[in-house]
Amino acid sequence: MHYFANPTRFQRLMDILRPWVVGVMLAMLAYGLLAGTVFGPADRLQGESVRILYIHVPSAWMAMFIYVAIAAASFVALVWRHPLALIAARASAPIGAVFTLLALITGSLWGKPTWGTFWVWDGRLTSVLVLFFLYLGYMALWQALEDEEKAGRATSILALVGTVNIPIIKFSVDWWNTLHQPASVVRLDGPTIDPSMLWPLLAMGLAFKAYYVWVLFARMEALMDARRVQAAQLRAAQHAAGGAL
Amino acid sequence: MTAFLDSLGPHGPYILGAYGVVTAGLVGLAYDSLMRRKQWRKRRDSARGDARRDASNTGEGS
Amino acid sequence: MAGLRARKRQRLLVVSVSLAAFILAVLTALLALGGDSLSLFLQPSDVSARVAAGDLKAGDRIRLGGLVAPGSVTREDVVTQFVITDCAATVTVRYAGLLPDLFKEGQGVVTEGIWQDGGAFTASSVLAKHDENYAPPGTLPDNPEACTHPESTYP
Repeated sequence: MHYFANPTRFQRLMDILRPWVVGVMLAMLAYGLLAGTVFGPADRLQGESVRILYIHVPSAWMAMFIYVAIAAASFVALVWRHPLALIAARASAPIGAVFTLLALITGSLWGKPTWGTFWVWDGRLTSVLVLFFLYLGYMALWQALEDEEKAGRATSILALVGTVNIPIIKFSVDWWNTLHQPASVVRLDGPTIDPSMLWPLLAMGLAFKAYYVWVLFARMEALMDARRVQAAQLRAAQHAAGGAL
Repeated sequence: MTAFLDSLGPHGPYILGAYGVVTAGLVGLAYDSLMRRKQWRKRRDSARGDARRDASNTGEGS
Repeated sequence: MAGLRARKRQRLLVVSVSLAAFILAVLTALLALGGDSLSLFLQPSDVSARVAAGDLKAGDRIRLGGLVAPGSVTREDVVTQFVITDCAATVTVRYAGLLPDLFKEGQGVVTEGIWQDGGAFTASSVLAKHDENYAPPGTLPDNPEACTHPESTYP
């Protein structure tokens, strides 16, 4: 890990991985959409609206996965002060926020035809909405604090404090009575989804993960370049000040 | 088109809406990210160019 | 150099311990104090327990959920009557309005309405509660077993 903490080496790693990541994303997307969305079976009770499963569930997985990634990176940043960890956390936040919003919207569009309502304040829906606000708060804190070092520490602490919401989201459907159904894939006694739907769903999950990595790389490169520009400007200013003396 | 919508059953608009929103969101985010990378790369390169010019200018002056 | 390493080890300890303590504290508080109040709805046995304890009075607005007891649905004009069960207790529900597509005998529902004296319950809204099973038609029984908890319809 220390080896790739060097920006130049990390850049090389990103350049090597990128084509593979994009390849996995496109292949899994093609398989998932064809085998699930287009040719997959309808559900015995829900009928055709079960097709929203293939985008709603991976979006919700990513919403949680990216938050855990941000928290882990923040932990590394707080303890070992790796600037790249901070950049990874910061670059992940907008992606996680988008996935959370997509999970909320697709869930709402799925809820209307199945449950009979767009929204209900049950444990699962409410805790995911809280997750969305956590992402927004995290991004706002980065914007609000001018000093990079202070911002890095404050956002990392916020991210770590917010991780308490992750087990709440996951187990809300077991701890309390909710309108949202319990877990269907990640559960102790195995998935309760027919294999003809489960495989395309897992493929879509992998496609969304690859998408995250792809977009994360682009956003990290932007942040790394922004830092270089900042450093160059600082040097130029110092140089000018030195020249004036 | 209508045959396609009919095949989706009564909930067709919800299904299409959900896929539309996800497509728009993910394509939009990817576009934003790639544009950011492009912009900052340009700024980085020009900052490097400035630095080189400054260095050579002061070098000539002294 | 040794000082730096020691500082890092100390930071690791401080961050991990405070994080673990914080998460544990919040979850304990939530589960111990939040408990039932964080649930979206009551089940029929919760209702009987509350009536027995005097916590539920006529005119109270509650959400009631459970399975629609098979064979209990009757329709009279626009009024639908059905029994919600959680296997331990039952409540009869009257509802005038459009039912969601997934409303079905043996499936879960969440209703909202006013509790009345004598155990009658008039719902102003009925939502369908989907279970965790996804399957093509014909691969699972359409009507799950009559009396199980809505969250564990299949073994």
